[in-house]
Amino acid sequence: MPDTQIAGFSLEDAAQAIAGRVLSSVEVTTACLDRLESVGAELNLVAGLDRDAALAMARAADSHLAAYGPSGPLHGVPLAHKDMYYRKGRESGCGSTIRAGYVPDCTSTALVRLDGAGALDIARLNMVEFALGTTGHNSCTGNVLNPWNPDYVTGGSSSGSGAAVAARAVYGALGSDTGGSVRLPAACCGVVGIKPSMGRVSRYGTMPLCTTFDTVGPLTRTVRDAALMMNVLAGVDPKDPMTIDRSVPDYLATIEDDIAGLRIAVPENFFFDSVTEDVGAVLDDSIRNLERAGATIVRLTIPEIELANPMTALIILAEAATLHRTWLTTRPGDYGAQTMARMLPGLMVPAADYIDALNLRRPVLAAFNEAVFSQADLLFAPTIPVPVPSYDEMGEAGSETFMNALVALGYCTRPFNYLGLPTVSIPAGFSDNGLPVAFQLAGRPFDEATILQVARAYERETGCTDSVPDL
Amino acid sequence: MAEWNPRFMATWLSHVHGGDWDAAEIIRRTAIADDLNAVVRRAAADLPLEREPAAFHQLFLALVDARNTDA
Repeated sequence: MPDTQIAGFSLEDAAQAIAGRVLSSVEVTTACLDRLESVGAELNLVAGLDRDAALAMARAADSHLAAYGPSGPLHGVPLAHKDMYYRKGRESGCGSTIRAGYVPDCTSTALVRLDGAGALDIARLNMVEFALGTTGHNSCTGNVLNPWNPDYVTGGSSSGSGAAVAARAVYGALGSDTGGSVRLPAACCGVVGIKPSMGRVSRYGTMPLCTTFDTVGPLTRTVRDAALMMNVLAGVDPKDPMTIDRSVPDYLATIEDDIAGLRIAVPENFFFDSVTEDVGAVLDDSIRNLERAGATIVRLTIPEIELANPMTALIILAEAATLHRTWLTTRPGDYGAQTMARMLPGLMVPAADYIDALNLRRPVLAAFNEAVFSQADLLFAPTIPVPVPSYDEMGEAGSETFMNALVALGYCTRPFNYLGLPTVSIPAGFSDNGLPVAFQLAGRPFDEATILQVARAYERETGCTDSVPDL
Repeated sequence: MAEWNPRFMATWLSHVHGGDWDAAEIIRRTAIADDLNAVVRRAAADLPLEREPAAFHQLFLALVDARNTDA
């Protein structure tokens, strides 16, 4: 079987092919390594890759399979992750000059869980510097390029994760989402990305940006793949006190269930305020397709939601600046322009405003709950209200044009970080510039199962994850 | 915050946080932070505040079972 065909499998198909001895882990891993080395170089996907070590892991997986059977649901499947997931003894550069060469002394819980499921961690993927940015720009390690058109941004901050999954270089990748950093690259690159509920997936051993909002989530080619990875990742972890000890359902068990009777809220305020005509047309089609799939659409207004973005920005800036305070003063020249420009205001946030911004989550969430979940089971919203911009259109990193575009990209994603709700981004079609358009489904806390179920129904109805960039 | 003197702010940041701070840059960045702070202050004045530290989390967890009560 040719490498390109193998690399084109879904994560689930690759896992089944290995477990069923149709393909060896060495064959599958070789296909992905080849892809990472060829397409990966063209798109600047890779922060670090050790081919020999990866193939050694694959050989070990094949030997284990022959002797004992599969060690877990992802046995022998090659994955690669955003370069901020610490693995003891391996460099983790966090997309930065400052952390270049940093070797952590612990392994993140997310990686430990994936290791336990049998997955292979074959590469570190490029990302936005310190995960602070919605576009994919990085003046330290270079911009990651969009597989659909390299002139366009990938979205960030999990830029390499989105582009690598879309480019069929790996079957799935971890990203992190503080203000949209899983969902934005998923949307820009035409793949599935899920931001779990706050407290659902451990952040232990990952680079912190803003502990109030940081979440760990996978980017995958299909909705079923997202469920498969969530089955492995979700669960309480004593090493992350923010995780909550609630039972974790089997997300694949209900994912094919009929969605007839489920009510999807479509907001009439805020989320669609800045949607362009071409993106709006795609989103309207998506809503009709969800209705065709059996859902009931409920149109409603959400009070107070316009507060979520400025509150989120203030909290992220204050916490990020606090984490970076020493480096901001001792190594200011080692930050990229956009990172520095966004970090500095955080040092000037009064403590009282920061605490108010935290406390306001309760009334804003209460208002959201009353407006949305009293009438519907989940909420539909654009992921990005405008077409994916090109690097040229965005201008120089740190400039006013750039900053405005950066804020616009995250307009529809940040509210769900503020509210802590689980949210998935699904490919919906393409805008006039040929780049992907996506929408989000947000659910009740810890109800990832329902958003995945509805996303899967949409995927079945439309084949939305079948399109692949021509590379 | 609007009353603050950016040059004083630059001196203060240099003193408290170390490093060499540019007053012109501080003026620009302070304006950004000031906008955000103003939004929070307006919101805090308009919305009832719950000041228990765990209030948000309690509500968040209460919502988990909301589907059952809705049904």
